[in-house]
Amino acid sequence: MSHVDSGFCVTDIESLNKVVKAQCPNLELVKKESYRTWVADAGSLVGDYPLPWVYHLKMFAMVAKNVGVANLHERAKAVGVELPKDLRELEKNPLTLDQQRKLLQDNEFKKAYQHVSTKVVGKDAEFVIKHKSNRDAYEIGLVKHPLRQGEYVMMADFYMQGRGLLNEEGVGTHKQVGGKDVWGSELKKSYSLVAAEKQIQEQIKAGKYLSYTKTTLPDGRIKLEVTPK
Amino acid sequence: MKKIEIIIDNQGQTTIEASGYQGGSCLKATAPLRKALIGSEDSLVKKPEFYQPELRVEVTQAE
Repeated sequence: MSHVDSGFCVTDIESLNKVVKAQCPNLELVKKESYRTWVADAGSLVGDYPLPWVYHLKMFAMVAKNVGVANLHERAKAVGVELPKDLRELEKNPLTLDQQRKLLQDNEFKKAYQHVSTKVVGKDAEFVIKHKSNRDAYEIGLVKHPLRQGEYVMMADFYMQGRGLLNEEGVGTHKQVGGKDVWGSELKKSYSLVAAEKQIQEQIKAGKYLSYTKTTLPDGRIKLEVTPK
Repeated sequence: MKKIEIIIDNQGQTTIEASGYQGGSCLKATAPLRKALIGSEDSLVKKPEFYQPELRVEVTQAE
């Protein structure tokens, strides 16, 4: 099994660090390139789950380098996969496992997949959220967004709750919500709140906003209402 | 009355909605929040008011 998953972007590492310190007593955020996933033990992914879109993009960059950008879409089409004209679309509409399997029928895509899944996944982070003492626990990687400067994509392998990482206080376990894999909800929600309030307070200081209120809605969502100048 | 509403859902995803603006001024007012919380401009949804011209008030000094 190997379920590396992404889908949440972070722009403010300082706020994320603040949240980890405040609500995850057993975890720490460190500057580190490798983040632990299934690959660390098994050497490669099993392939029972599609790669996150960030890694598909890295795969396609490799294929394009070898066969030319113009041929990338043609090769994919030849094995029954219609790639979006603008590959940035993959962030919103990632490839499915079925599409990934089809792509791997082509040698260039297969080579790129093997390279990315063994040499890149788990080794390309800039910051990592790790357990302070449990060395078996997987880790959350903050990988540079391939298209937007200053932004990081949160990655984690949620297999067996990230070998315990996602069961830790303040993180949020893996579960299926509306057919989607969700993990780290407590951490992500707190991060969004801290980052939003920090930004609002900066704007108040700068004289651009006047005030704001914070309300927790009955379903748990948080509403911030800002009065601009 | 101008207002900016930010909703943070239980998975940490954020939506930002500006009301009381006309034209593109809402983009300027929400820019710092969008940059910090959403990152991508792809998820931007423009409401009908965006396409209305901004109100301009001309003040002339009485002689």
